Amino acid sequence: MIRVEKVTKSYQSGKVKVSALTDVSLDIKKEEMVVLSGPSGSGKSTMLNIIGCLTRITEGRLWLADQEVSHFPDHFLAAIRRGKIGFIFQQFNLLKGYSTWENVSSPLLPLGISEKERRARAMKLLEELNLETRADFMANELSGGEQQRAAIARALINDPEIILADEPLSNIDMGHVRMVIDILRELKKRGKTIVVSSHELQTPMAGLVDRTVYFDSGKILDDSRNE
Amino acid sequence: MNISPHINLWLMAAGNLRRYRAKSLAIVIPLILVMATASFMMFTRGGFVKDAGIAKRFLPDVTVQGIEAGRVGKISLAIKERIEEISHVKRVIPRVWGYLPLKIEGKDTAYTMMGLHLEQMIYDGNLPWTIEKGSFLVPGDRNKAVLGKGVALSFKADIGDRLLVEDTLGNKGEFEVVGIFNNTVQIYSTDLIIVSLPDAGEFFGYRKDEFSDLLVYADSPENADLIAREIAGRFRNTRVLTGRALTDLVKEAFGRRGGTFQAMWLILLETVLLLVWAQSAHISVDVGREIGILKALGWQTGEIIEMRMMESLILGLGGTSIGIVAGFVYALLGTPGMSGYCLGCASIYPKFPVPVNCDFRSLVLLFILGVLPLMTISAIPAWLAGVVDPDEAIRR
Repeated sequence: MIRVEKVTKSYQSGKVKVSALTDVSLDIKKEEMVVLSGPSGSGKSTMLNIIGCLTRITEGRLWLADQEVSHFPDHFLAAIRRGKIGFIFQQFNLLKGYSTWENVSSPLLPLGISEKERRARAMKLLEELNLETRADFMANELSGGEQQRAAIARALINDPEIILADEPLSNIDMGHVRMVIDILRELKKRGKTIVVSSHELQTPMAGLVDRTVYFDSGKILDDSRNE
Repeated sequence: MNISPHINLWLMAAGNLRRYRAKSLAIVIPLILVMATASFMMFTRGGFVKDAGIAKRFLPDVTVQGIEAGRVGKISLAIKERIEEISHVKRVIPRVWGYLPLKIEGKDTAYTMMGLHLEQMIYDGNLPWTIEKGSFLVPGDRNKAVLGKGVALSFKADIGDRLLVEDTLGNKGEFEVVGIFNNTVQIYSTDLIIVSLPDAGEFFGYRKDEFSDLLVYADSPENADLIAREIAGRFRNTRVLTGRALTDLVKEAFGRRGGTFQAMWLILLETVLLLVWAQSAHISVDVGREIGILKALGWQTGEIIEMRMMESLILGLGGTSIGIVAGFVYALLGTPGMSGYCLGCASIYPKFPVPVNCDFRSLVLLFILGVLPLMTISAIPAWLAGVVDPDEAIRR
């Protein structure tokens, strides 16, 4: 489903070239749930961004759903993000000034789907995530947990094959951690391919994931399958 | 072509103006002020230039004035007769005119009394005045006057009234008002009293063989310059003006003032653009982040720019439309506070309405100048954020 081959990602920071990933390869199968683990700055979020086509690789190749996308132009990558990928950001990244349902349905806007249809689809997801009473609240009026669920709903609105979640448990309280884990479990049950980044070695998702890939200093140190 | 995505983007753009209303108002209010100023300047300047254009049709091919001691003075009948002998000259019509003082609402103003050779001028059928009330003078009329509408209003004079006038030297005259003409050419005719040639001559103390100027008509307009050169060569103590030169003079005078207006307008427009740019720069962090998020959600850069440009288009069209209407109303109200500057000292200020001309070309120009820069300047931050990777745009 996802194949990363000898990928290097470097950033230019002033005159200094910083390597976030160096010569990394990774294969993730369809319907597999993988945790990318490691300390802050280890390269796990960069890997997630690369898989999500949010940033371009410096060297190497990337396949998504048997299609090599490494050198696709910008508009093709946008089409892939729109059709195949649902991204849950660490900081939620909801749009300010927009209501919850508008945020959730925002990926549908450029598809030409009517407001009625967009609202109906957003409401269905919000109900599944127990957020229907907050549908008309502004994004900044929601609690952290509610924002997280709204961000999850937005990632699912296009029914993507691949779900990418960047530190989904780091900005919510313990009460909501269980809820997010339940959502991920349900998504896994529906056959989604899920890649999650986490800085914790012993993540509460441990019982759920198929594999844990441990990153450090831009390299994969360990790739272990959970029994 | 499926236009549903575009409709969604346009609706979202319209919604954004409501969502970010403080930012929208910060742009649209200065834009309204600038466009109101620009449009009243353009409409009034257009009015003056249009008047000058109309007036050109009524001007003689050549006007000849006498020079006495280096200043404009009287011109004699003898010169008139000698000019008539010049080839290509069809006819020469003498005219007497002068300014009279008038105090209106405590302000010193002036109007013009003009004596016309009724026998020669009236039957040409080429007069710039349209009689609104009463009738025009007929050959042989004495001590009768036709008033411009502005003069009639100032004197509160009507048909049949006796009009008493006095010049700066204390010469007095009395005329029966027989007609009131309207403002076909406002800048020339509204401050005018027309009397017969002998009446004007007597009032201003001219001898019977003296006039203020001579109106020379050529057998063909192409010969005007030739005749003008011939007159200037033969009669050293004259000032010779062609109709085209007079019109150009008026156009240049008002054009220069228009130029001042345009300079003011450009400064104002620049102010708005700087304001929009400052706004864009100020919100660029938020804009960049929002664009990054939208891109991450699968939006194309073109869709984001389209939405941003649509926001500016709505703001620009709305602000420009309101501004133009406000400017037009201000111009129609006589540009309160500006009419003295617009009209100069020889007009019956403030009774004389400033001419207004609102044409399609001016409107198109105003909309282009009001909307395009706004769209361009607001699209730039969207484009800059749109061409980088979503991850980078969000983190900037």
